[in-house]
Amino acid sequence: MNEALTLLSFGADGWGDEIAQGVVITISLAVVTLPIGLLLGFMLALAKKSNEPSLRMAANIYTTLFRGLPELLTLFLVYYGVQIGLQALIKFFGFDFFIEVNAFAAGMVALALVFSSYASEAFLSAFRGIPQGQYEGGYALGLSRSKTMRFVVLPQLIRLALPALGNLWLILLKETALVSVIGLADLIRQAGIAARVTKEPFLIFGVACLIYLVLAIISSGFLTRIETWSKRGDVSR
Amino acid sequence: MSMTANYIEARHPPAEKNRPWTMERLFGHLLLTLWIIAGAYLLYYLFLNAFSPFAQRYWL
Repeated sequence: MNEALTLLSFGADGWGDEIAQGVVITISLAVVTLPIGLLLGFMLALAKKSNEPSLRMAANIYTTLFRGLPELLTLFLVYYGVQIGLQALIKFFGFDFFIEVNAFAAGMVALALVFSSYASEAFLSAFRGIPQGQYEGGYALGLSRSKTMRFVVLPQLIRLALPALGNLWLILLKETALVSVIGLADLIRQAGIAARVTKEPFLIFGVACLIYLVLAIISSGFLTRIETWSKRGDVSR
Repeated sequence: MSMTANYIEARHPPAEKNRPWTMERLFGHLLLTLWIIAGAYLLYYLFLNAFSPFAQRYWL
């Protein structure tokens, strides 16, 4: 027992501080990815419900592509593909230097691409749950299209999309583990290093499991609170 | 009473061919063009690499 606690302690003998740094990277990656994914997903949903067929088709290609590809492959495509693309661009303009894509940025972009393609479907189904009369009511009050969206549609949309978006957030939190393969020192990578060095994989990965579970439980608590907050205007039946 | 009519139609009516070039239409065509260029470039890249010395030696 003492040995296990020593291994998990903070300081020179233990791996606690390294694992804690990994937790910080995991949480920051998920938190930074979320707003980008939500914004992109919302814009995709708007494009999908547009009356313009070319816009709908472009958005549908995006969703089909990033929902169809495995997340790991998307990560590799972004990490290596962007590097190759930038290098080709630099060569094209006659320069000769090497660019290395930051693993955190690549992970953020790849996860945001996947998250947004799923989020767009959640938003789209929420859009379909809002009666046409709500838009018409907004216009009848003299509100512009953007104001109707902001003050009439969006509050209802958030309430309808929240359960699906909550699920997507939990999936995103777990998918951050994939970035360990491109060298980002997240929780899984730090735990892997610690497990190899200490030769105590069950203990170290068990702690990693517990940390993910705690993060998921905290997230669920937050989501329940946000859901309650979003339903504060509902009439109780 | 059916509530169906109150909701946004999931299916869109066919677009008119001589509709005006709005920002929406321009943006849609721009995005589609980018997709086509990206897809074509990917195929070109794969085609080029299929004839690389590495692929010739180990794959083909």
